[in-house]
Amino acid sequence: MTLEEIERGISLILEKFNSGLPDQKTVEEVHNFLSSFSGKKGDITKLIKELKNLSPEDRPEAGKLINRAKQEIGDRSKTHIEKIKKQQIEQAVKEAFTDITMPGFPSNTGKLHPLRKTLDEIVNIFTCLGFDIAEGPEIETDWHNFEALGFPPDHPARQMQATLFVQSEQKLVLRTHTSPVQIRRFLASPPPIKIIAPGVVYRNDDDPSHSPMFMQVEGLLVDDHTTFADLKGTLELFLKEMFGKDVPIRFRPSFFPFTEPSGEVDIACPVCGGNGPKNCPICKGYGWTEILGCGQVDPVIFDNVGLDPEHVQGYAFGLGVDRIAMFKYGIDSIQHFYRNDLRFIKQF
Amino acid sequence: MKISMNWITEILESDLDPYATAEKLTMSGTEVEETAHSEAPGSGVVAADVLETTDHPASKRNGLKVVQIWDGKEKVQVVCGAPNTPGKGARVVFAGSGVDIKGFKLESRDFEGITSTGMLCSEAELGIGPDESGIIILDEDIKAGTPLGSGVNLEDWILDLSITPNRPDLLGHIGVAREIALLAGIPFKPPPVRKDWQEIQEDSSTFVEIVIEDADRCPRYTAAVVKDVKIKPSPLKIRNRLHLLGVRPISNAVDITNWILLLHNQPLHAFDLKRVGGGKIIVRKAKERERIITLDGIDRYLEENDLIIADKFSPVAVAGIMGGEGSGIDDRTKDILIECAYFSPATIRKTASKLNLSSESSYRFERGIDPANQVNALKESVWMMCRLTGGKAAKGLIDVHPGPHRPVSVVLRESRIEKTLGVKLDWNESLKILEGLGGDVKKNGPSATMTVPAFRPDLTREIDLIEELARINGFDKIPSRFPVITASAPERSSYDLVRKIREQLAAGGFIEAVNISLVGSVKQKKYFPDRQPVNIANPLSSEKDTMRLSLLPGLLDNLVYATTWKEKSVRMFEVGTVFSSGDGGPVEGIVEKTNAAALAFGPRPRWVEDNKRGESDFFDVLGLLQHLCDCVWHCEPKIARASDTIPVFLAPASACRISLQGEAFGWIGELHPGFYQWLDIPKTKAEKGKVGLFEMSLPSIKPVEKKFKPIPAYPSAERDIAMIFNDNVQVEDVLQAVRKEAGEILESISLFDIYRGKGTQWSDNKSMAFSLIYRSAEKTLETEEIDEIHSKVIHTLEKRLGGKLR
Repeated sequence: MTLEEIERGISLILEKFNSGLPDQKTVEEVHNFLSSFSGKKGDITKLIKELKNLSPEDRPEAGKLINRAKQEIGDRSKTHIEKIKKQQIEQAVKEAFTDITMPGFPSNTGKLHPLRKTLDEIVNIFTCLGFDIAEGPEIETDWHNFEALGFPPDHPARQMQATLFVQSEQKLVLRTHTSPVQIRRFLASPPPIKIIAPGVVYRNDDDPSHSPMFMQVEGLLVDDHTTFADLKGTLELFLKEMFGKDVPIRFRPSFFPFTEPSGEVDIACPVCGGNGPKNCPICKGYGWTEILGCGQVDPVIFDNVGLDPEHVQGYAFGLGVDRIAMFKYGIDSIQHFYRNDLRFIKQF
Repeated sequence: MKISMNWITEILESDLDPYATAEKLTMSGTEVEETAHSEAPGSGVVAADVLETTDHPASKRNGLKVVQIWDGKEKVQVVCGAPNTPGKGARVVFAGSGVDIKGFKLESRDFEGITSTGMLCSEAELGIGPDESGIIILDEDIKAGTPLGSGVNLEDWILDLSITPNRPDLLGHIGVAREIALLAGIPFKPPPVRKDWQEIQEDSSTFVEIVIEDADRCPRYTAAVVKDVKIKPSPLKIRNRLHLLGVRPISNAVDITNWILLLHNQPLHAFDLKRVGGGKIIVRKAKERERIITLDGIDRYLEENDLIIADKFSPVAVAGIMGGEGSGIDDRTKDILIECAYFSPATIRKTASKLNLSSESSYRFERGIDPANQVNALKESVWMMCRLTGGKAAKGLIDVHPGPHRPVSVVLRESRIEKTLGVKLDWNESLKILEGLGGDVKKNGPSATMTVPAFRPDLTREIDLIEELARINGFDKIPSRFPVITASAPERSSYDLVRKIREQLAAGGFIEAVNISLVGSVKQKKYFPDRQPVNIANPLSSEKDTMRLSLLPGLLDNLVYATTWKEKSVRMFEVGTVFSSGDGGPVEGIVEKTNAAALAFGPRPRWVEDNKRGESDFFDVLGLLQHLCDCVWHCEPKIARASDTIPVFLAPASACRISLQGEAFGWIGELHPGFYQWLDIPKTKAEKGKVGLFEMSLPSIKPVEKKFKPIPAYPSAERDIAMIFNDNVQVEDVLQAVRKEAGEILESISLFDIYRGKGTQWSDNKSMAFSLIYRSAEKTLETEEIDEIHSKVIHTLEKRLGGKLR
């Protein structure tokens, strides 16, 4: 055998390999095909066996050529296998089907109560504006709840707030509003004061539109310069944050014993959009609905807590959380909040 | 407070649009809750003169009459069954055939042979008054044929005003007219004072003597005597207006007192003069245990501090609140004594609230009426009384006036307006507004002094005047600014902690409840027989007469409610306040605590246990508690069987106290079987449904931040142990024994299965399977090393706890 014959043998083998490889359709077929060349009885193996018949000076060159050929068919097989595998994946992906209308696997069924969620949201807005959170007891002294806030005993203004009294030797009440927190805060340390006081309050009312317990957020900003204009700005910002930038808002005068001037704020009825059909359950066709009470802190409060009304001033406001939550979620009755029907809470 | 726009128009002599007026009132602080149109009867309802009245020949028994009337155009015959059908000369209200009355078209009808072409109408039939006992007999001088609506001016607009307690002056039409005039920019003139009525020769003082014994509480008492009155219904116009304003017309004398009340905001009281014993009226303190039967028929005991009106012998009225039954006006009254007084608001409030008695009169005195208007109001009432009853007034009105009203002066500084409102208002304009309120204003450069009118008791301070300026100008004149808030580190409150707890409990798969803190005492006694809750003195009902001691009764009620709606799996929590008597809180004698509680009932949700969904029990809430403590306080709760008394609603087998870093703060367990039936909790399908529950107060410990542990550098080796133990061997026994034997090389051990029944051979045995993870911080452990330790562990469990390998 000569080197030339080896070379011819190699090119015949390569020709045979290259023409046969594309016919191999599976990984297994490729392996079998490959071993028909480089396996024990393969063509290349046969060629290697022929090396001993070559002249010693030609042997290294011939060995190199055979190895290169062997390397080449190995590489080609590998590439071909990768191609087959890729085709198989593509085929599988093409054939796969998922019924995406099957339900998701639940990870958790816990829920927060819509009223407390609303409260959290309100608190978030005001803490972002720089207000601290303050809290006070739900059973209050008559003095904190009424007298210090400008409601003398037997005063007609007390009739605005039907009160639940505690059986006690002292005069104790279930607080009718979160405003006594103002008094506790004033007595704790002098202004500047910037707080909101979220919490539950109680009234002696129980009918479809009243609950004996409900939630309020009190706000208080007192220093030496805060004006009614600041109050308007703060509340407008809050209401826009809560009900959207375009919500129509109006301030109108009102009366509270602990603020002067006092005001109430209406927003366009969130149910009928302010267009006011006569049967609108919220505004009864009026178009506006009251959302909060507010005003400049009445000097009598400063007198009652030992501050000089000539040198301190500021504003206070009180929000009804239940009403805000009702508007926010379109809930038609306050009674839903305290019945704790899972079919209700799970909606939010 | 209802307001008649007709009346306002009469006072102001100026036509006003009702809706625009309502808007102005609302935007100046007096909310108008309703603007209602009161329609007059149609033009077919006319005045008519009775020409002749005869009995119906065929129906005498039924009292039917045949009436010939003149309706202004022609003679008409109607059949009328009203008991007050009048005779010739009377003026009645007629609706002819073809006229619509409340949607019914009248037609000629035959009454047993006599044709009736139309009807004579009652107030109720026309919807212009409450009276349905008979037909209307007009006092008014209206020509036959004139439509009733224009003849008596029955068409009106009624505004329903919500009047705040600081504005007593708006409880009368004159006050409202003054306010509307200021808002609408039209002049206001109070109605002229009446002087022209018929008098008799005798002086008032010959009939009655007035004595005020308590001038502080009754600084002024004016009175008049009107003789020879005839009590009868008032004219239609008065009856109709009272009716539209929500006051029931009764008789001319009574209607006049109500008319003056609604016009002048001055309560009057009319006594039957002959029932004022001894010709004497004494305004005095009640004597202890003195009695009076008030007009509402209730026999009341008075106390020494109550102010009363007495005659020579006994009380005839509770001053300013309600008259006595025996001294009022009735149909036989001949002579009337009119009381027109001022009583101090505080005394009326005290007595009214003590007697739990309130009236239109006390409502106004409590808020403070005009202390300087008694004579004007009295004159108006005497004038009306003479005109409507045909009576004549005794000469000279009585005016006992021991405490004259001292006008209040308030100084307003221009600078304070801007300082308070944040906007500069024109100073001269501002003073004009104050004058419009009825005040006398003296300007002195940058300040001014206002003499406040007597009818505005709410204006006593500078800030009150600033409020008036803000109110009358309108809040929309004040700009919106965002305040400059001094920055400082925010104060932390328990709100943050509570929110974190709530969020973690919800993250644990539980649903938040908010229950009302008022609970029935009977229910609380069932849960806490030994504890005394805080009681409500005036409860709404027996279901809401105490403050809750615990959150669990509320949550269990929620559970029961859920099961009535066939809710199978219930997992709920609440974070809220509980109340008890005691010391240490901000309010003496009361302790308030924030508690958190949760319960689990029914099949476990899929995400808790994938393969074998068991029924919720103790371990569901234990898992929740562990999750909560880990996330909030960063440590593990210790639970220990309670050695002392446990709450009666917990089953003893699992009731445990919870503690965190040595601080005991709550209970965990399962509902006592005795409570299922009482609460009516249905058994679940598996017939072994339990209610797992816990309640805790918030521990005082501060959460310690978690500290980083290095990620292991060497691989771990996992081995399982499944052994059979006697039932009294607890998981914790195994854990302790294994940890002690294996030492530091044991990274963790956890239970992954417990099995009772087949294969455990005896009924008091159980199989427990644990997964152990071994790891060294220094090297990769060799299999031989692990095997050696693991077999030691098994040996220990066999020897110390009697375990047998499965």
